[in-house]
Amino acid sequence: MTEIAALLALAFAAGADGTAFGQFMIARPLVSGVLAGVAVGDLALGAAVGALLEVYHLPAIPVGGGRYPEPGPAAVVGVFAGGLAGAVPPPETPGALDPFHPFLLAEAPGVVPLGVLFALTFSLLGGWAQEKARALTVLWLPQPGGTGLSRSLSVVHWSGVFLSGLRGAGIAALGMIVAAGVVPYLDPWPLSPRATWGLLLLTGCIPLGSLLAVLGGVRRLGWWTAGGLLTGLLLGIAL
Amino acid sequence: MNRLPVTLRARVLARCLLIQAAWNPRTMLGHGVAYILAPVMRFARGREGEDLELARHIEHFNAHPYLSSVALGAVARMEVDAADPERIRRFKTAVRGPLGAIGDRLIWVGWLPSLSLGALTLLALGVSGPVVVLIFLAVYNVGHGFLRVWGWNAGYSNGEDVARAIRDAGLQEKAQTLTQVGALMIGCLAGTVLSSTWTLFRGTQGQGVVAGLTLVGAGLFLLGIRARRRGWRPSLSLTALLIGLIAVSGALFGGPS
Repeated sequence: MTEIAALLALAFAAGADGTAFGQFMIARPLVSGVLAGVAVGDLALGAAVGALLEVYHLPAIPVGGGRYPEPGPAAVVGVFAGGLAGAVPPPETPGALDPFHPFLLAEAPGVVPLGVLFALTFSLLGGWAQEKARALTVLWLPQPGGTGLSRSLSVVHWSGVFLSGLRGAGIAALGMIVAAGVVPYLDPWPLSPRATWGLLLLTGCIPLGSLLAVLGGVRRLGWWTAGGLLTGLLLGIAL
Repeated sequence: MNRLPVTLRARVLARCLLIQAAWNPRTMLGHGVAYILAPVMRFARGREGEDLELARHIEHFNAHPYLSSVALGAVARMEVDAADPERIRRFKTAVRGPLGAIGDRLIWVGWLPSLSLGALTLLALGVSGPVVVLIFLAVYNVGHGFLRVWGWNAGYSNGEDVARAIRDAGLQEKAQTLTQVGALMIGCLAGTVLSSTWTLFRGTQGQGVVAGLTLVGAGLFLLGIRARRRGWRPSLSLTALLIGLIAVSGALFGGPS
């Protein structure tokens, strides 16, 4: 129960931070995922789900007030769902995290992909809910010319923060209920750990390509990307 | 000339954190602007004129949430200086587009993805998740906080002439640099993961698998470049669909022994 309460509180904070209060990036999936992993006592799962979601959502840039997904509360759902599928034992060296640890040592190789599945689904659902909630906001906005306008604006804005948080917690609660009902039936995961890693690796390539296009494209930034690739390869070999 | 007391300026700046709390498709950030300026209007117009004067700020306005403090600082200064309301309205109309564009480029396309990718690279190199998150949040919010405070001060100090301060700050050049850092970090993350994948698949058949993965991955990366910003939605949906189909097939037909 404590874990559920912590997860819902985190989803509330992510919902409020993402759209209504501060935008301090608690709602980023990497942050929410890792914090959710801390809440459920499975750091590796939280980091894996959070990291993958972060990659998938990098090109979903909130420009111009368009509709975009809500990955913060969804990351909470993902960690919960993955945890239902199995646990990831802690790494041998405290504080170190082999990036393949969740895939190789999880009780079931489906732990991470199932978490990602539920997270992506509820990220898209959360974005839809956010769009509808914003459209409904028009119904209770104070109008110019009324008395007590200043006070009404304060009430509307603080209510907006609370309702955004409530929406995040609501999406997370719904996702956790659905996961609790569905995950036990999604067994066994049919791919080996290495094949699972390969699959998730490939699915991250399209969002990274989209992001490069958004940043400025290959013509303007191709050499920077190539330089980074070389640096990453050398770092990976050296470390 | 009246000056806003420091405590009042701090209060208004704190209110800027809620600018998006009542975002709506009709006025967008318009009600947020009015909410933030309420203490300024009370100071400038007194209790009797507060609501009446505040009402004219309930109109369409949209800008990046962090850089909106530039506009708000400038408008606060113009209100305290009792500028003509029509002039204030024209200023808001003129400044909202550039602040939105610069902010999107600087933060959503520059600062955020660069730091996200840096955090992901640290994770891929073996730094623990909570440490990575702490570093990410600390570094990101130092920049975030600095931008809000600088923006407010630049707006309040310069009033209507804040465009010069924005130009002098070189925000567009900084945005350009950050996109280069972001591109570098895309490559860095890819390289780190690729070298780790090589280690994972090491073995007689592993090299072929890694080569195959690299080729397919490169092709998908190019597909993503082609899809540009429109690519994220189908990418998310198809990834979820693919994982879902695999999971269901496992449930129906069993997994590897």
